[in-house]
Amino acid sequence: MDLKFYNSYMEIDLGALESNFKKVQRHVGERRILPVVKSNAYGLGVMEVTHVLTERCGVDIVGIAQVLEGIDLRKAGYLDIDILIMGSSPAHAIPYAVKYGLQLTVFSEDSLREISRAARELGKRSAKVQVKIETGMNRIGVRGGEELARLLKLIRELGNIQLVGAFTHFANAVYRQDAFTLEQYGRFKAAVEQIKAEGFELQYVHCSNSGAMMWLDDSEICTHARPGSLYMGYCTMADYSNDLGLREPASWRSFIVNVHDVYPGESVGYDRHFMPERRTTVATVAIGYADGLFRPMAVDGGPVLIGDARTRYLGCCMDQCFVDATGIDCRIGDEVTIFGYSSGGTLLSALEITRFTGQCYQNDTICSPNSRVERIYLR
Amino acid sequence: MTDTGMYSSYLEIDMGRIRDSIERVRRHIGAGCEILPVIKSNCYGLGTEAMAEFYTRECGMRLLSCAQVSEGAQIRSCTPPDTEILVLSGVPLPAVKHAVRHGLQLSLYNEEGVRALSAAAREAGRSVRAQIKIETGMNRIGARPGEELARLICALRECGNIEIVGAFTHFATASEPESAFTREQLARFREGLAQLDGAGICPEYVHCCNSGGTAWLREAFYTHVRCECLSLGYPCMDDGSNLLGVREPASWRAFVTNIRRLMPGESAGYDRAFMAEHPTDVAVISAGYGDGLYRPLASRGGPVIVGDVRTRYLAVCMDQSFVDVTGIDCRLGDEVTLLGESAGGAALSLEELKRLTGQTLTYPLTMINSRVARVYKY
Repeated sequence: MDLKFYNSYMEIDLGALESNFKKVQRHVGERRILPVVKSNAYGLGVMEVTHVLTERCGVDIVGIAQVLEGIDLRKAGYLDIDILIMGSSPAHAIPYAVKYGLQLTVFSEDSLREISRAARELGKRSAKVQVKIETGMNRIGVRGGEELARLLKLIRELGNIQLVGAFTHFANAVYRQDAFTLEQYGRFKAAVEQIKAEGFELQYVHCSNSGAMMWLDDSEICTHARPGSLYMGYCTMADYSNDLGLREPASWRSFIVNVHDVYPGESVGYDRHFMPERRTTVATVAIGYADGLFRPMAVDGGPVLIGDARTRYLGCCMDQCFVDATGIDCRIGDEVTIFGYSSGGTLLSALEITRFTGQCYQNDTICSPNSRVERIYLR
Repeated sequence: MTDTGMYSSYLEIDMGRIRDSIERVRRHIGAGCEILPVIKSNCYGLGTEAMAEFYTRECGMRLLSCAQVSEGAQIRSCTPPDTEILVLSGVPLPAVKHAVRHGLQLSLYNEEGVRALSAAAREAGRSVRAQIKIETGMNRIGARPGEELARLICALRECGNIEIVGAFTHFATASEPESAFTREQLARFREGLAQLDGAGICPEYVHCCNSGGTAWLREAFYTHVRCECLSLGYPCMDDGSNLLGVREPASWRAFVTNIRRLMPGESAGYDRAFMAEHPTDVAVISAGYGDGLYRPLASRGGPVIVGDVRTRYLAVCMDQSFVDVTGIDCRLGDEVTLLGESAGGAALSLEELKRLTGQTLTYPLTMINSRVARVYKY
């Protein structure tokens, strides 16, 4: 492993990811999978993850959040797959999406007109879109009934919009048998029936995210399931279950660059953050919050591994952080695991860190290592 | 030039303000002392290459610094060949040979580091320049004056192929004006310098003041001050003071992509995070924590500006966020300012965000990632 000049690395086990995907595929049976690869595939690397999905898992459509991300995929040579931009795009970005053949999500008449105009101006016969149904998230979407009827009517009138899919998004699906999710599902089902009754044929119908896939059977109307976390190996159910036996694929590791003892009366870090009450061995580690380390966790004494030993942070700076190494046999150059597996196989789960921080696991773990962190792929 | 049209949000950087802040700092520190820019973490989110070019070509600075070898290599590739680049932080041993290859100065603070650098230099067939980091109270990296520093000097002598061109330390509490602990650190730093002097090491570069120290510790200016935050326009003082009158240069703006009225009983976001108690107009904006928005700020109703009107977040997702626009005249496509200033001048300063979040001043800037376009206003 050549880490070149990097201070830390995120190791991504693509074999584990492939195996996780296949477990998820078996679990959903007939439905196909529309995997989400937004935000650089949740930090794991969109190109490498998309390669595994398309070459080894048979995927032919992926979901992303922003137009820029779709253009990156097209420019990297992913020309044959369908790419759905699930988020709402600012009007100025719409012509780019149409130009690169990305499927936009529609829910408003304004955006439909923008798409139609962009297609005309670019000399495209039609632009493919999917309609987002508002069922309770109240983020983006058109409500079933009158709102949806107006939108469908406009699609017909514009003539150069091809409606290929319909989807919605659940707000609460990490709770099993959640009543609100079932309400949302009911509204979605009615909207899909409304669209079909209007004579549209839908190639893509999808609603289940990683949570809902674990307990909601939507196969009566859905062609696809739309996991993000789950196919990667993170089961985010509120009850901490991992029914499919998935394995976390990502581990972020850095190195000790200094080890020294501090004594009562001395202090460590800005604002003299850590004041030892007894002799304490402090390891300085080569990353800080400017590498993406979630600062509140490291400031508040969150968990971390030195080698295979669990310990705690003593503080956090921009480029370096402090870890308690008292009683741990360690030296300069030893590995420190921020989340995932240590090189020796000890797990500090990304999902456990989320329980410590009270955030979403993507936010404070896998999405957070930035471009100062090297990616190492196990293939 | 980046084509910003495809981006969902952008960070606008007012280079005129940065130029003005640098002039103010230079007047304050006087002739004989210079700013040592700290171009780390994508230059605090503002862009490594744009800022490195600005400092060297426009401001004529020859000594730059960064935190990691990877950053030094990037700076090397976009600056004049005579630029000196110091890596301030501890680096993993495998990175040392890359530092030598790119002609970077490492910070030395223990024998292991000295021997690794010497070996890498020998292998590359050249001698190298480096600086000594002195431990004075931060207890992060550094050699303590006395025995530790003596061992370091001894190792340097034995190796013979490392030229020491600088010595520095770092203050832990200088953002507090007149901090006694900072003066203690300065006294220890002087001890370290005297010890180096006694050993015949008289470095060309001596520096210890960060942004805080630059504001008030005049006797510690030496040859350089390392006040990146201050010279970008962020004073970073605990008491919120801004003696030099610098101005924040960066503004992050996204766009309204949906507006909807919620009625009592309805909710918005994951876990039904916002529950409407009365009719509420909710705008969805095109940025979320997947772009680097600090999630706790947005999930706890922190401030945000729609057009030129201050309002609050209602909830946050990875790629989009919810903002309360009840009673605000706004429409699709309107700009939303997440930090900095709106086009009309309404301000949401990093200073204020620091107070609200309890994090550091620059944290929100360093989190803004590559999904966000950088737009430089010259």
